[in-house]
Parts: sequence; C-alpha cells; structure tokens
Amino acid sequence: MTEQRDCDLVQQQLSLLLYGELSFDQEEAIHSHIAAGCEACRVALETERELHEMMEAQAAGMEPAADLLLANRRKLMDSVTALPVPGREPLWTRIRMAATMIAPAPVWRMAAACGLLMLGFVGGRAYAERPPAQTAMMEGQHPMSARVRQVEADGSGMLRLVVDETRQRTVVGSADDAAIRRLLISAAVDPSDAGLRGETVEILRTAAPSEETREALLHAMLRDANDGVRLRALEGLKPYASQPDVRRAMAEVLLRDLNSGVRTQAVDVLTQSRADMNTEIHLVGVFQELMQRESNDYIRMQCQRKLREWKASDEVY
Amino acid sequence: MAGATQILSGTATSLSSARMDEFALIRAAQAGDQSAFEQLVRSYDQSVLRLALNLLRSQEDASDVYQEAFLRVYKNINSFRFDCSFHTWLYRIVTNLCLDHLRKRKVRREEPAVVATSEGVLDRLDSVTEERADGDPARRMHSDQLRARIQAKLEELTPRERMVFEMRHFQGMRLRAIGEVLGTTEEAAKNCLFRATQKMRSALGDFQ
Repeated sequence: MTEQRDCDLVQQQLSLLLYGELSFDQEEAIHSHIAAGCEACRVALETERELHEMMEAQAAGMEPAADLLLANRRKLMDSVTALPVPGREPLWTRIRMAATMIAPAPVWRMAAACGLLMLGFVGGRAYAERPPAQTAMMEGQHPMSARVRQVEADGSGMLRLVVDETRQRTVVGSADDAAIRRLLISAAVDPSDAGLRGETVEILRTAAPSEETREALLHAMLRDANDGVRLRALEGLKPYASQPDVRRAMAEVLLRDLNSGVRTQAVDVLTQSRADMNTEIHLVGVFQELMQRESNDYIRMQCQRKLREWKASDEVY
Repeated sequence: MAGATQILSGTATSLSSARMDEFALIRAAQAGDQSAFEQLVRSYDQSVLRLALNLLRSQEDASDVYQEAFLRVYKNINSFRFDCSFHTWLYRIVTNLCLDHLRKRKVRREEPAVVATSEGVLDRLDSVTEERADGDPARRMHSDQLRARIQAKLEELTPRERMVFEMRHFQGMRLRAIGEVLGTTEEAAKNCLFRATQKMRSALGDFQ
C-alpha cells in the first residue's frame, strides 16, 4: 500500500521533474525510487519524456513572421509618435505659453518667418556640402548606457573613473554607399532582432549588386532562424542565381530548410535559371535525392520536370 | 590594460552588437526619449507577439494585444519604479490582455489557427516544423494527427492553465517568474501547470 502511494506520488511529479521545477530533494527521491528497481515508475518516466519531446517538436518554428512583427512595430511607433510624452504637456503648448508672455503673437510670426528663411539658407548650404554618408553625433547627448570600468583614487580626494559608454548615432546615406552597406550587413545578422534583420535584408535585396551584399544574403538564406528573412534573402539572390556557389547554397536550402515555402522558392529559382553543365550535374544528384525524400508535391514535380529535361533518371527507388 | 582605459566612442555597430543597458533605456524612455522606448520594444516585441499568437491563435487578436500592451507601457512608463523586472511588468500587461481575450471567447469558435508567415497567412499547425527529414508519408500523417490533437487539447484548457502551460512549455519561463507575472505564488503556478500537463497527458498518452 505504501509502495503504491510512493509510485502515485512519483508519477504525479514526473512532468515537473522534466520541467526542472522540483527541488533537489524531490528530484533525488524520484531517482532513488526508480533506481531501487520500480519498473512501473521507470516506464512512466520514459513515457512522460516521450510526451514532452512530442510537444517540444510541435513548439519548434512558431516564431511570428518578420512581416507581421514589422507591421506591428511600425504601427506602434506611429501611434507613439502621435501621443504626447507621458506626464508632460506637449512641447509646442509649453513654447507657445512661454512666448506669449514675452511678446505679442504678430511679432513672433514675423520672427518665425525670418527664422525659416535663415534655416532654408543655412540648410541648403549644409546639404550641398554634405559627404555621401554623413554621420552626426548628437553633441552633448547623454550616453544611452554607461559602465564604470575602473576607479582610482589619487590620494588628494579626487577620483579617476574610466567609463565605457554607448552613444546613439544617426547615419544618413543611400544603400549603395559602402559605409551604409557595412552597417546594414551588421544589422542583417543581429541575432536579437528578427524584425530588424528582415527590414535590412529587404533593403539589401533591392540594393545594387555587390560581393558584400551577396555574402550577406547567402548567410541569411542559409543561417537565419526566421523563415521570412530566409525567404527574402533567397529572393535577393536571384540576380546571382547562375553563380555556382549560389546554386550550391540553394541546393543546400532545398535539402535542409524546414520551411516548404523557402524550399519552393529555391526550386523555382534553380529551375528557372541556368548555369554551366558542371554545376548542373551537382543539381542532378540533389534533385534525384529530393524525388525520394521531399514531402512537397510541387517541389517533387519541379525536380521531375527538370530531371526529364536533362534526360536524367527520375525514378524513385 | 590599455583596452580597459579606452573610453569607447560610439559606433553604429556597437548598437547592434551590444544591447544598450536596459536600466538606462528605461530611464531614457521615462525622460521622454522615444528612440529609447523603441529599443525597449525591439528587445521584447518578438516574444510578446509569439506569446499572443500562440495563445490567441489569431493574427488580428495578437496584433491588438501587441499594440495595446506597448501603448500601455508607453503611457505608464513613468509609473514603473523598478519594483520588479521590466520583463515581468510587460508580461503582466500582456498576459492580462490575453486572459481578457480568452475569457471573452465564451463560446469557443472553431477558428482556423492562422498566423502570418513568410508564405502568407497559413494554418499555424502547417507552419510548424515539418517531419521532412525522411518525407515518410506515414510519419507525416502521424505528425499531423499529433499536432491536431495537441491543439485541440490546448483549446480545452482553462485560460489560466493555458497561460501557464504556454509560458512554461513554449516560452521556457520558470514557474517563479510565471507566478510573478500572473500575480500569484510559484506553488499556485505549479498546481496550474500540473493540471494542464495531466490534461495534455490524457490526450496524448496513447499517441506513441
């Protein structure tokens, strides 16, 4: 009777054990119970583990699409921009109240007109002299983050602090500018932000072809965790589709990518573009392998069509 | 040591490689810096949207929760006093909004589990990992049936059980953190998870 109660208790806690949510003592009690030879609880633990694994497998790949994330982000920031800063009067209201205390409104209207004229003149000159990729550090701006790295006392009561600071900087330029492109490429591999990667890959996709861009798109197509980013990168590689290493990378996508949309796009690009025969021979093997293991009917159909065109065997053994 | 004494000047790459200190970002957002607020949003919005999508299984509802949650954060950022982590505070808002949505669905609709993917709007269960390693039709059918059964059972859980199960199983949050988010104890969250896993087990026990 006591043994049955022990088994009931152990089996009730198996799920929490696998979640790592039991105390050390509770875990120890379960493992001791099973180690003592309780076959029923050992089988129950195995069954529970299989159930967890089944559910884990279903959890994979449930990342929101980059497009949805971006659309939400843009809508939110539009809404936020339209709102007043929390806890404060709108800036314009404050300025207007202060200004009317100094001088009547007509005087300010004339002053504003002169100010705008000057701004246009100065702005025009500055714009004409601006280099292709202008970087503007916001002078006097407080650092966004600061960390004290080292503190030294000099004995006279003064301290010397070494501080690491991160500042925000605005960089302006076109996607064809080399400096801008390097920044875009670094953003395209930012692991923490799929939305940023998607946005960046979209820009790189439409930018002028370059070796750096091609490498970044290849990396995103093969390595990015987000389906939407991989798909965009693949579309961006269409202009390079006749290059052997790009075709080999696309073949790898066809064999390895878990998303059928990405694979479909890959097979379309590969079958609609041409390369030299040495490269295509590699694809024959890939397509034949896909005929045996690919679950998507459309992809198999495209492989079959191409294999027949090449007069290669499309038999499934 | 020379490296240690060098004060880092800002470079744009540092923004992407080293995330700005959250405390500084919150302080800056409280001072009215919208770009700091945006950085905070970008740090958390993917997981917020994922949680809302998984719980509500509707792109429209999940987007509503996303917008409402972050707007509430923005409007109330000055009332955030660092009594808990920003993550806990944000998730408290998100889970309350999701619970409201789930509770409003008194009559459960047989709605399609749609999500936006790179291939357009698809059934969520079709967008998850495919068993394509072998392309074996029998295995694929088995996988499809399993997905359908998991989804059906998730729908039968109470909103609180569903919330705890999603946060623990799919978001990987610890029960203590879930308790904090839901304003309850770790023990209560544990009981909730226990009930949820019991129900899931009853649905999947014979599915081997």
